[in-house]
Amino acid sequence: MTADRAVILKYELKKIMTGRIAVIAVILGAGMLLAVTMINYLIIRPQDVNVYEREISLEGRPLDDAFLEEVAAEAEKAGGLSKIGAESRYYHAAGYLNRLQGTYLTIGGASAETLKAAGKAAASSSGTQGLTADSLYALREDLLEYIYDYFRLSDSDKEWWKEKENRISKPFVWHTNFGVYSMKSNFGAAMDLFCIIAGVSLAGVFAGEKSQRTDSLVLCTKEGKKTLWLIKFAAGEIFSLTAGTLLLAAVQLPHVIFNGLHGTDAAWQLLVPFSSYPYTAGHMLALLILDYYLGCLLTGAAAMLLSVLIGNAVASAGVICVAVMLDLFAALPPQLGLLAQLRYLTPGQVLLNSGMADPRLLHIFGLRLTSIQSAAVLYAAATILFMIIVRAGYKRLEA
Amino acid sequence: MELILDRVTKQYKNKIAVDRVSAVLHTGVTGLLGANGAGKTTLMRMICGILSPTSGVITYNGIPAAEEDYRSILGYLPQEFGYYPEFTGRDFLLYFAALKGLPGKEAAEKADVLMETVGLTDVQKKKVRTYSGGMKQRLGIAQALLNDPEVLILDEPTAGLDPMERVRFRELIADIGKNSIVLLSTHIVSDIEHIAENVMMMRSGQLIWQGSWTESDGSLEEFYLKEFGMDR
Repeated sequence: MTADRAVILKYELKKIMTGRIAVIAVILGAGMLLAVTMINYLIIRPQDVNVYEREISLEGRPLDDAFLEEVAAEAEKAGGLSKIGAESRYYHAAGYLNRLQGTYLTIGGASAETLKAAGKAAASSSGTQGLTADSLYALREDLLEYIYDYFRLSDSDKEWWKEKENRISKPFVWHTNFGVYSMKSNFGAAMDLFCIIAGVSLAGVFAGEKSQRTDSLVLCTKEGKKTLWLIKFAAGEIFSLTAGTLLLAAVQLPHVIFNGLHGTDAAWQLLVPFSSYPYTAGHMLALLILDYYLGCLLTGAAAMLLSVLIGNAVASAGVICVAVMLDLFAALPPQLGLLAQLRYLTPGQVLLNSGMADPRLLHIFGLRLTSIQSAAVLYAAATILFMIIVRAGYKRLEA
Repeated sequence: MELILDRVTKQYKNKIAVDRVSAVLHTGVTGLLGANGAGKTTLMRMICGILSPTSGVITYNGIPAAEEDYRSILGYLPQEFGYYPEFTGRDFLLYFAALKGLPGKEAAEKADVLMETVGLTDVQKKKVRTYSGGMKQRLGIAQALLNDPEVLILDEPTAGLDPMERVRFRELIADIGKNSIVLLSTHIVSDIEHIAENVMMMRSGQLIWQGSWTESDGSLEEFYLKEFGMDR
């Protein structure tokens, strides 16, 4: 990049980052996320102290019959699995066993309990009474099968997942993971908030020149019609990465500071029980971070695309905000096939990380891509496509 | 140096804003006169390459107006222009210097000189949003001169300036016209009368008169009023 283009980039960044709306939006957004995250740590109860030290004795132990018996004994004393207190070393393990039995899981409106009653899943009751490792893993397999059917996976896709599932060691090995567990749940909130911030902050990147009546000055300069579009686009994406990093830091750093990074070596299934990704939590967090940043770049590109095509900052920001609302609340049933599958590949949905991972696979050039992989590929491709359209739209601008 | 307008036309649906305007502009100041809506601004925007003609060709020394090489030698002050509220006056000039391809050191030196020329040195580090209308206009003139343009298009450059400043800028424009092609549009006939060697008059998108004008030709204002059917 030549020196004068670096100067243009500096001033384009200044335009974005000194805009009152952008500054207020980023500070408010990061502050809000930080406050919500910090609420958990403001009141430190005695049982919240030294959790890792309490759980260290369970570290590396398989979730087998012996382990289940110990938890069952603890549950009996406490009056139930979900009643085991935070001061117990089994507190997090008990919570996990509850999730692993589908206690909080609903699939297409049916809870795991309903499925068990209907005989569609192994009839082990929620809790630990009579629970063995065999019945626990059989129940998980039944629920996975039901999830595959609910999402209308083809037999070959089911086989593909089963092959992945076979690579996962069972019984699962317990690793303390409350640190990374908190982290994996927060990407979606940061992403949704980022979309709104990018929408309002970047809507003026191109449209602002027209509304400020600087377009006639800019377009008749040497770089005005040549490289300015690219420099503006780059400035918008730098803002996206910066704002995205601030939001992610606001939502994740408190967990890292207070909990540490215990659990990066845990199997992903200890965090998301009904996922068949044969990776550790550390690997999956890295993939989620990649998807998050690609999602930031995509959203930034989309905001700038609307800015150049609509030519009105308020309208462009409005479209992004409406899209975020629709993404939060609009549901499409799996019967709609590819349309429904693509609808759930938005950054906000992919990073939601609920207990049930979306098992639908995208077939591209003979490859099967999971939702997290598809998201990375699609976001990168869509960002490049948006950039090409921005260029075409910008070249047509007149003052 | 030769700026050629060859049957330049701009049509918007049912309205012809500029109708087959042809002219050859040489070094010196050319005044462009016409009532509001005569098509002066549209013509100037086409000359600046920021509005495509519906038909016709604009070239400078054989370079089409739409090309980058042409924009390198162009300076433009629009009739109405905005600014970036968070930029200082100096930021504004340095930004446009970079857009015009001036290297950093040259840009800084040029900005200093032009700030001095337009009398904004004292306020160059203040935000443009704190500037008065006249100061903004002077800043606009400075940005138009950043690249020592060979073709300078000025649309109402003295609007908003006080009488003293107007006289100063008239002299500045006349000085630039010694080495550049300057097209100056204004409602103030006396501005043109003082500095323009050539005059073009537009009405309803058409060029109705063009030629040289000297003191011996009499009052340009009276001629202008006569041409536009407003005899006193």
